[in-house]
Amino acid sequence: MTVDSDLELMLRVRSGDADSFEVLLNRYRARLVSYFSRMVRDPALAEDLAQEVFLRVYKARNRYRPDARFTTWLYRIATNLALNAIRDRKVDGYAVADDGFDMEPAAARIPDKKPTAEQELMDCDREKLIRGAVEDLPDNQRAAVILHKYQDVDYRQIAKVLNVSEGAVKSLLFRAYENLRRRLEPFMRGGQL
Amino acid sequence: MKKETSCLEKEQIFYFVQGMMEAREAERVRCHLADCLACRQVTEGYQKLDLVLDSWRVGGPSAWFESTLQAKLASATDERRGFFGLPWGRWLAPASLAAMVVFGMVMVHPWRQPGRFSPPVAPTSSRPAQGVQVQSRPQAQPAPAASLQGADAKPADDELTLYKNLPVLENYDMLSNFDVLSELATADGKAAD
Repeated sequence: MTVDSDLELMLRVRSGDADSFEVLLNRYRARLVSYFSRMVRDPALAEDLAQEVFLRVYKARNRYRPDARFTTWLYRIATNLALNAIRDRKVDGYAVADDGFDMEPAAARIPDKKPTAEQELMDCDREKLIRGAVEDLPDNQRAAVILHKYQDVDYRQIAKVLNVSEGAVKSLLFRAYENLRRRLEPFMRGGQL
Repeated sequence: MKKETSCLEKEQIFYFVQGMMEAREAERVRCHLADCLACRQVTEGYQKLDLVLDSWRVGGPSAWFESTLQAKLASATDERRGFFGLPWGRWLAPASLAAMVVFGMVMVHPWRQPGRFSPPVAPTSSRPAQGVQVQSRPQAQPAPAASLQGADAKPADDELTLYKNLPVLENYDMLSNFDVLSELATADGKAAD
């Protein structure tokens, strides 16, 4: 059984096939929600933005041209939405309390591991530190790191998503990792965060 | 023993670790790392940072993601379809705006014609009016009274004769006093006298 490519599915969506849109939705739903969760922190907003991406894709289906990868198009919409949301929240002065309420406890995600309370606290603290370090990056660096590290998007594709040159993306990622290394180094030295 | 200057740049090591290097160049870096402890340590630092970043996990979509999105998609489809299956929304707003502009122009247009509804400007004078001097206007002169009622009017021949024989008010001071008197009624209670 062959798996239909995103492009084929999108062309079918364009010709009115709702089932193909459902396939695309199932394929990218979790990825988009996790992308937005890392970009904007607030899980409710992350879901709203992911839905907005699918809505925009659906509305623009008749204008879709298969001259670029579907994921490039998808992540470009997603990144623009995320960066706008970040800017809006900065303007509004909105900040989520750093109490980890928006993080799913590690135990809930890996139920068979059964970590101790101390381990859970450490995991939570570690996630908070990483999140804080990534959030402190400039917007473009943050988007590049999350796309590269957590979404497995190739740097050439990131260049198309961010509309910059490939060299600029490489440099952007290097500077971002250097910032992260400096920020997280004290915690890495002891072998744990 | 290797010289310090022969070490690779951090940026190159980063590209190597992240797989952002051409195969030939990556091979060169690999050979260098086999001999250079300092560069190997930098490489390990980046690998360690990668592992640390891997530990940042976020939750997936909620149970109601699908239903909310379906509702949004359904409303988007309805919005697109419009009344009677036609995309009214696309041109209804511009059409209503155009209608409002035309209506506004029709309403404003007569008032913008000079002299049509505004009274003729009378010369002002501080001298009190001494009465209306009525004179018969010479036959050769055009009738200014007709021009007061509209320049476009084309009276019949008998009406024209009547107009030509009308007395002409030439005392403009008297005319200007009429304006003042007409305002007295609306000024205050004293006008009632």
